[in-house]
Amino acid sequence: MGSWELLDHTADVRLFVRGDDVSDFFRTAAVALAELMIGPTLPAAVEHVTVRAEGEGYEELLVDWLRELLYLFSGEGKIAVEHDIIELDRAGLAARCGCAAFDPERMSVSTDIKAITYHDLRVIEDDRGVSAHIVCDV
Amino acid sequence: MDIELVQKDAYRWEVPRTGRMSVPGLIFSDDVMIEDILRDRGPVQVANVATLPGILTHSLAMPDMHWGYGFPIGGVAAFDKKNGVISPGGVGYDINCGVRLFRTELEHGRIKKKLEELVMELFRAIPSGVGSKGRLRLSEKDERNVLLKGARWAVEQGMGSEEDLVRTEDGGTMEGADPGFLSERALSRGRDQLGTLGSGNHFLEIGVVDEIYDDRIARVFGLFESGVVVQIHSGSRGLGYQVCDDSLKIMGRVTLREGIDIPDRQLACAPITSSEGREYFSAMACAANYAWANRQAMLHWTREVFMRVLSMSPVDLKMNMVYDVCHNIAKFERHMVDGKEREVCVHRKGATRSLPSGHPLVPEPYRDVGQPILIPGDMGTASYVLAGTDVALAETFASTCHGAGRVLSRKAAKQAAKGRAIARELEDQGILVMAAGKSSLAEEMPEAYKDVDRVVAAVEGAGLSRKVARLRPIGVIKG
Repeated sequence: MGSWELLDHTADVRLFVRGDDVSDFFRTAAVALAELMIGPTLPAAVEHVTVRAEGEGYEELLVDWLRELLYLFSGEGKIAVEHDIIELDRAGLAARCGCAAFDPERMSVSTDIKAITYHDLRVIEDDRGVSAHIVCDV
Repeated sequence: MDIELVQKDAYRWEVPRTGRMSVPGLIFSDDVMIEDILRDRGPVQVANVATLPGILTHSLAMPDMHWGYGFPIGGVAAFDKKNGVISPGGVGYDINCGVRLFRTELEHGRIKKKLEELVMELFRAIPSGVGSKGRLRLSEKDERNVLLKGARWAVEQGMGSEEDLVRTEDGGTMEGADPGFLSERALSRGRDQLGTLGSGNHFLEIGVVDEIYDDRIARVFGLFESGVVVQIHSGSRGLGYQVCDDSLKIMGRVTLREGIDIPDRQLACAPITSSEGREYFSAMACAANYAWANRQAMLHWTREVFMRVLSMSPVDLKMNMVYDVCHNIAKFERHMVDGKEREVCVHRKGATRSLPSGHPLVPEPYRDVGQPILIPGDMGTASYVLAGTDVALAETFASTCHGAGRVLSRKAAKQAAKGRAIARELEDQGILVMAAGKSSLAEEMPEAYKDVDRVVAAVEGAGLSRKVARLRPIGVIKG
């Protein structure tokens, strides 16, 4: 089971994400993004979409994955709250995501994430699982 | 990388040319701020930028510099048009984040009793905050015109006059914009956000002229002591961010393809002459135009609010533009390099253009005194109006600082703000604040930022700009 925490950073937001394996890592990073954006209590999913990401290597793939999820929110007002990863290798990922609509009446944005960056990004695979620091522009 | 800075004078530090740097770095600062800069690893970023193909003269950084994505914020770098590169990281995510200042005939005393009403009405008239939707919902055709024409589009819709455009950098329209290069996502994000302020450190501020340093220039700019002014700090919203995101993805591949060896992947770039380089510039110009249209619309609505609340006519109010500058941009400009004039691509990321008197790009009304430079303090602190100089033109590709950078993280700021009512503290200082977001006030509190007075003193000390006036906020709206 993955975990994430918020670290200190002067101008932006820095997360540390760890998963038991690669799939768990990508799933946990997605959960981290959602919880960061709207708080620890995520609403229930009302629809499902397939999200695809691509990249050369896990770092690029991670950034593309989180960017897709961020776009769902900023561009379409949907928060991906469940992430079922169905395909994953170093070049691509596909996930079936349960999404809730962002309702400004009932929900508020805790952190205004504007972009996912490559800063200090290295996906590390070791005996504790898979982890990375991720810096987001706010 | 271990950087040993060499101090050249009271305000200049050189990053010596070593390793793969093609030019040295030059950091403008003072004795106190340079310590922060060293701690923040800024010089490493200045050195990294100096390794990019086609960079000319120096990799530069202003006194308000701090760490950024690839390029430092407060960084300036110019590249040869023929063999240099263009890089989205050298512009920033918020393309044409900039500042617009406009003045009135009003004296502070005249609006004291109406201040609360003005702030409330402005808060109502100009949507702010995360995900806010604007009053202007654009059709595809409208959006295309906004992206092509910038502030001129807004004026054509009746939101301002030609006079406003004269007093805007680039006339509020960047040439070379092509909406065809924007992704569907960027276009879709742009459709509903025109006319919104944004969030974070963006604001609209009513202020008063606190001190005049140069009577002659202040008069030409339309500023007088105790005069009421309005300042807007805002950018290209979600559209600009999407353009940057889309471009970084493409540039990553181009950098590999062209065999450009970069020390940091966020320096991803493309040759200026490549199709990707030209497409990025066009897309960036669209986002720049979007930001200018946005600030022009907000100026118009501010005029409407003031006229309504104060029951004044435009002729009496004279809410006229002082100037509008961008501080995240890449521009093609002509500069002297090694004694010869050439066309270069200047990247300013958290830096403002600073042109001297006599320069043809300075608007005609200001040509005798130099280009106005607008340096916003952050919420609750002073802002400055400066004028451009010959020294900046000669040394920094006509560039100067843009404002104060952060010193406290948002987490630390929130921690420091615990138990304190920031809005109340500001009110006690005579500043009325209305914020759309709950935590933003704590995150944006004055102690979270560097000292803008020091930053401005340093650029003046270095000769890059001269002080004209200092402004003090009295009412702020933010997201």
